[in-house]
Amino acid sequence: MATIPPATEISGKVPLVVFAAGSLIIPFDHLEQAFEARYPNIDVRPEYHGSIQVIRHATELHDSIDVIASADASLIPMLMYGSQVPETGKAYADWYIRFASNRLALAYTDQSKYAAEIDASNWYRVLSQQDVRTGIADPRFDPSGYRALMAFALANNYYRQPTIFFDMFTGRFRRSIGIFQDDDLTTITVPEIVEPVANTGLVMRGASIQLIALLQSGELDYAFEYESVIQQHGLNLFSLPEELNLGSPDVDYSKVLVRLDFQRFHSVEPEFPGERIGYGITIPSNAPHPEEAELFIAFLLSEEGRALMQADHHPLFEQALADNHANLPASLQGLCAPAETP
Amino acid sequence: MLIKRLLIMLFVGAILLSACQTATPVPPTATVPPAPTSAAPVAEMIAVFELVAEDGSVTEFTLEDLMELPVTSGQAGIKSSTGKITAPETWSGVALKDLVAVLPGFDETMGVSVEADDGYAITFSYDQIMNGTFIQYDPGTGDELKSPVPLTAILAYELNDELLDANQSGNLRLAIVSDEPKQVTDGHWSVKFVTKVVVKSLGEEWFLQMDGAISETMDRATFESGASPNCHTASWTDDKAQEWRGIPLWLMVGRVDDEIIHEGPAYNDQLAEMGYTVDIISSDGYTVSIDSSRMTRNDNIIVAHLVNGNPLPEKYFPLRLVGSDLEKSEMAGMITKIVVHVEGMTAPAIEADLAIGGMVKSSLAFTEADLRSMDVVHITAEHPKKGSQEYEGVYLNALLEMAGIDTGATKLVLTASDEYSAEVPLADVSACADCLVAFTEEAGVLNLVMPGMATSAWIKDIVKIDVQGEAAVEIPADADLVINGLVATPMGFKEEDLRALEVVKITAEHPKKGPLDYEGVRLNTLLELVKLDPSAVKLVLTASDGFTAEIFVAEATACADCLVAFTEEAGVFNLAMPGLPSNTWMKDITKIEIQ
Repeated sequence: MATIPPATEISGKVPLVVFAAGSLIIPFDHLEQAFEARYPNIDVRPEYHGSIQVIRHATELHDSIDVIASADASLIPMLMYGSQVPETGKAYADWYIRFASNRLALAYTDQSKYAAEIDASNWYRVLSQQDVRTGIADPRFDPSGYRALMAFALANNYYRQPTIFFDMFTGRFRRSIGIFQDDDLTTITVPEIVEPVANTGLVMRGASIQLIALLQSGELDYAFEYESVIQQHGLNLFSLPEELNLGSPDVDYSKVLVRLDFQRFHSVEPEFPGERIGYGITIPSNAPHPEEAELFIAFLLSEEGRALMQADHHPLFEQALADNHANLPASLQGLCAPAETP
Repeated sequence: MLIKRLLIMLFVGAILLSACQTATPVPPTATVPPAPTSAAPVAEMIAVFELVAEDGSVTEFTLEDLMELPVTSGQAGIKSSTGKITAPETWSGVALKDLVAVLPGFDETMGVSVEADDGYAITFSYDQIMNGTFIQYDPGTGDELKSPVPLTAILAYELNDELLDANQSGNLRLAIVSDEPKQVTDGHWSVKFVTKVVVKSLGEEWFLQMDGAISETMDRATFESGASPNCHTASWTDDKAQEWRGIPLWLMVGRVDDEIIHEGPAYNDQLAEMGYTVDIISSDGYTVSIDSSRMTRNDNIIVAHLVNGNPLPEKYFPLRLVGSDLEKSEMAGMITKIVVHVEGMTAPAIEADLAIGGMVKSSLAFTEADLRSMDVVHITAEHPKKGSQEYEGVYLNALLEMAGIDTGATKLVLTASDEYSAEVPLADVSACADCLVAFTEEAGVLNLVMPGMATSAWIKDIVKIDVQGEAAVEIPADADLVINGLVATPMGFKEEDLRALEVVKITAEHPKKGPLDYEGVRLNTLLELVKLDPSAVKLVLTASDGFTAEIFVAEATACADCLVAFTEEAGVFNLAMPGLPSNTWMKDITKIEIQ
């Protein structure tokens, strides 16, 4: 397998290729400007995708990437620890830093149907109305999509109404998304093909960021987005209860699991356990510019980086946590604590 | 190689027959360099691509082989999930719909998995392959197109008349092309380094081995048929409000307890009374044994294949024993085998006392014991001659419901043991809540109790009920539009027929032409007239030139403004289908078949 050649230097600058989740577009653009001002010899080249696609660009399309930032940190061990760079035989990554969280929420506008009525007691009933157009990301491609499914499954228990998930999704997909509640775990099964039935009010796009334009043009009433993204775009924010938004450090979300019911990747049949949203960042082992990549991550975790992320409504963790802390580059080890062994 | 050549010939035939090519078939422009004459293998002669049929058969193609196939060429670009646009360029290759069309049986229940050399795979739906149903974006602004253009998914080997750079994207890449460079599609569909296309059923196949007096290997389709609402379905709701659905165990056992599988009295009560055990065995060897005395005619012990309408989760797939008459430890999952221990047992031959057949989903036969194990009722009914009488038996409509009446059935032909017969309208029986198959003092002799009907319908010693229909509804040969299939009343319409209905005028957004005014009859009005069968799933739309498209019943009924629209030409109707794919906006629609 040949690789895409590394980005070339322009005007003596070192090109630093950063692949990141779509929900990081705005804060990372600001980070890029500040970073390049601090390190004028480095030219950051960002590219944004759904998080699964971000990692796939490294592990399966073999693009040369210096920094990877995913909206679901668990994707890094799932997809990078176990696959090897063809040229070196080394894993694509053997560490990551969990640096920020987020909260799943609903974006809407003043023109959205029932905008004046929606509240914590009725939001799921509002969304299941046939005359309300709700957008979710495709759970096969974007963590926001499977997290929206998780929120409905958690709602079944939270509101003690076992039909909330059915009421929202039954009859709205050509091949239904399965849900099964065992004694201590609710499993959501995503089929190989996920196609909404037309005119039923449910709209799906490959990535949650694509739903923003539909919401702004009035083609959607509500969309599942991260709180930071909603605030960055100046949309109305409806906060889900902490027990459902997957963002609280004090809530156990592990009673729900999403399975993709097919072999999506060569060696992995993905399962996504319910857990607090965690953004992960790493440097692929074949990064062309690992030292500059370390500088970028260190800048992200610095006071200046924290302030920029905070200003864009996406605060970092007080203490970033590293998986396989000992494998981190030395310059980053002091910036984060070892993550607890699960 | 012979198979491959045959496939190539079939491709040529298929493309010649294809009337709806969205992008343009053109001769290939790039050429594969001629193979050297030495015996050493060269890259071009190495298989670059496998086509895997649903039955697992594999056909390998070299690049040369692929280039011999009819070419579809067009413009394709991509939009990344965060908005980055790669402008349209000219891609050429083989249309996936041409590739799968030559394999047998590709339909809506199947998908096409496009796999890269490292195992990454994306599965495309029937609609995407056959109708090009993808979200499209303006290449300039990135905004979604309100008037989408026809698209074709192709397995591309050329970009701008040059073979693909094998290092950049492999020899083959998925591209979604249109005639004009006016659209881009989501980048995640454009799989690079494609080496395999797999046509597959989207329902996972499974088999259940059943051994008893005879053996049977039941496949998924047979089980699903048996568990359909008109057949032997049973359900149980657990303490988490989850509904498990399947077939009662005793009915499954009835298929192998003796040599009578389905027609006739399948379940051998006498054998069950003698006593035997049934082992339900999981794939990991876990076994649950149930006594026949506990199982007989017990609809609360169910072999379930669905939970909440979906296939069972992995830990129980494909079948689980469930029901209110089981302990939790007896609810074995992953069932692969049922063994009925009737070795060495014989029971007297059973002769049915009453048979129901004709236009039914399942022909049934009952002994008196069968009937007595069902819901037996006691009623008082007014006999036409004898006045008020007491009767004990089973509701006739319950038996008809078990058999499942076919669409189009209109009457029952009732036959007695002396071959006397009488006919009664099905509608009268359906409306007769107290019509009864009544027991008599003589074992095995059943009488019909038909309150409100003539004496001739009160058949003594009834042995056979034949469900029949009238002659097919005659549709005028000159009808401009026919609606038939799974409907109560197939109908044909002339334009004057439609104009006699409620005619509406609407403005609808045509996918290509923008907002247009239409006048016609709502599609839902016509569907209500013909009365859809509850089992109807989709509408197959056919135009006068033979072009067809399909939509789900749910989509059609949810579309309040879908219209059979009049045109300037008398007797010619167009479909206006707001919100539905462009291929459903059919010109000169002549037939709607409900399936």
